[in-house]
Amino acid sequence: MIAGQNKRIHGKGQAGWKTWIGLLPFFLFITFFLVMPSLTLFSGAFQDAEGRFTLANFSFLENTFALKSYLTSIWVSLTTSLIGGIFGFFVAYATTSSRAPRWMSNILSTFSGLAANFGGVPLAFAFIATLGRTGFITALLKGVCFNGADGAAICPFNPYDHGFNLYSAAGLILAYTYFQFPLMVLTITPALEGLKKEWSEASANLGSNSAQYWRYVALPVLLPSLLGATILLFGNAFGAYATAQALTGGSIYLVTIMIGQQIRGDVLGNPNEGYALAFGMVIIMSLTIVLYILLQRKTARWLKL
Amino acid sequence: MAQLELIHISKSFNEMTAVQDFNLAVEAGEFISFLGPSGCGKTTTLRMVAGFEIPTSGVIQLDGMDLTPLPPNRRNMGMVFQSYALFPNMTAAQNVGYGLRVAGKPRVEIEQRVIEMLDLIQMHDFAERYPNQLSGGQQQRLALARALAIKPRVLLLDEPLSALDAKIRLELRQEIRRIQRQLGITTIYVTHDQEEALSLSDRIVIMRRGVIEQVGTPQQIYNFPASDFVAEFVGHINLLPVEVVQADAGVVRLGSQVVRAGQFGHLNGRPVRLAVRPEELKAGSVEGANNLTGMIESVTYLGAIVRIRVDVDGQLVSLDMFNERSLEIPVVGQPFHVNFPVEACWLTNGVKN
Repeated sequence: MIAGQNKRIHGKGQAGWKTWIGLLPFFLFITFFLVMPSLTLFSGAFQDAEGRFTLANFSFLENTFALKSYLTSIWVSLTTSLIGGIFGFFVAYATTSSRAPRWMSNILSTFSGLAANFGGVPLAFAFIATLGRTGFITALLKGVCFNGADGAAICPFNPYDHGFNLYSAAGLILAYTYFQFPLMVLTITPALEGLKKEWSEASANLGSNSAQYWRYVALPVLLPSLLGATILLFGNAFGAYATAQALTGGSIYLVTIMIGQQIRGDVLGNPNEGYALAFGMVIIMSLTIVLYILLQRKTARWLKL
Repeated sequence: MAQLELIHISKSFNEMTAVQDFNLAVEAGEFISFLGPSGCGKTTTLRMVAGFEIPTSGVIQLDGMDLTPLPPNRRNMGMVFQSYALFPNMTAAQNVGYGLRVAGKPRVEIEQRVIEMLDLIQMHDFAERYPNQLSGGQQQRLALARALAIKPRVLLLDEPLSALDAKIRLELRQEIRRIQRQLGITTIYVTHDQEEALSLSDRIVIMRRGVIEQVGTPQQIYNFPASDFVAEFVGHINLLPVEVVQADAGVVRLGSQVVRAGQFGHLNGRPVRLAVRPEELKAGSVEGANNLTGMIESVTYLGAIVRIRVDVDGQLVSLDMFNERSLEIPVVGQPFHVNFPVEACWLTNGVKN
């Protein structure tokens, strides 16, 4: 009996070991691309150029310029995750609803898969080429007349004379939204497809109108996915660097741009201060994720049981 | 006057006709089943009553009022779905109270009604559970309570038991009938399970390819099927090709053996078949009854009954015998005599009676 038990335990251990070995590539990846860079970053944040422990790298906390870059990053990320999130949600809903033809959702998912990954320098260039000062659409608009507020015709219409500037925070938001909304489409579509037609029918059958259905059933069911997707969008924008750098040439101070300036190693650069700034980003993302987990617990109690 | 009337209802989806000229009057408190194979239009008809589908033509009236233009949320019909359709984010109590909540009823009234409904389905202890913490049978009972909580004028059930296992299905079937009788609520029940329809219904509507084949009590449907389709779809039946010997007396020949049918219409020259249920056939020969002689082709033991197939001059005739401990199971290949009363069989030529 005891021998049999031992055999079973031994057998189970073997099976477990075999299961874990399958995960080896994953652990190797995590070690080399997440754990080790993070450890380097965390230790570097508390070291000076000679490798001695210091808190001096965090002197940026007294620097309003650096703090402002955090605020700008948070603001741009929050705005683009909300704009992209709301827009993406409605687009995804329109194509997943039973009235939309199937080919439309296929086209959208293909486009979203491409556009969500179309960031960095190519995206910045695409925007400059279309909406820049000499961009294609700007040039087209210059050949068009619009009626102004006083009814007088504005010819030619140069958007740059009317408050638009691609090389500003607003332009950055526009460019970021380009990859944020398809990412929302990709992440929220499965959740929308999971909404059963019978729920809306049961709701209507019990006397509810469409607004009540969305308020009491559809949105609460979607809320955990919506929160998750919004956090993903926030993180996506918060960590973006190349698009902002290529589009604005570093004139908009985002944290990532400041980190880039510190690490690139020019005369004024201090990599350890860069690490400290990145450490701050990790803290902000961690706090965001904690907030998400708390909200998730509240909104998805029914999922976890 | 009937409580619910479906008058010349038709429904087409693009080129396909799902329901054609459907007419039915349902009395208050009646339990009606729509029975038919997949794609016969039974669910489409139910969904038209619920308001989820708009009839292409025809009128649906409830207590004399035209329901056809009303959206589902203004019809006051309680519907139970095959997949339960419980709201996953709400507890059992919240699900049951949902209809009253959206109607803006006071909290006290909602709480009272929820307790009443949970008591009715004997699930009072499960009020705070979420749907994913309940078994399939419990979820369907909850869906029933939710549909009844709004005090609907008609209860609609769309194959509510088909996702459940056999034992639960039987229990829940009895519970549905008990609750329906207790509340006296007019009920339409869609099913493809003939046993469910026969055991639950006051009347059954048999449908095929969007058309009503027969409307009648379970006994009428089973014993006096209006068409070969009904006869074959509901229960087992022997439909045996025969040759007419004497048209005005219903005398026919099955192989070399002569049989007289109790019911026969105008035999219009089409191929004629003799119809008789397996349970009407008895072993042995009896004077005055129809007697056939053949060879046992197979014996199937089904527990409560034993089904014997007898080869009568090349035609296979099924016979059901009630099982009992003293029953001697016949042996395949043995000669076998069967008899059945003249009034138990009828002649059919495939045309509706």
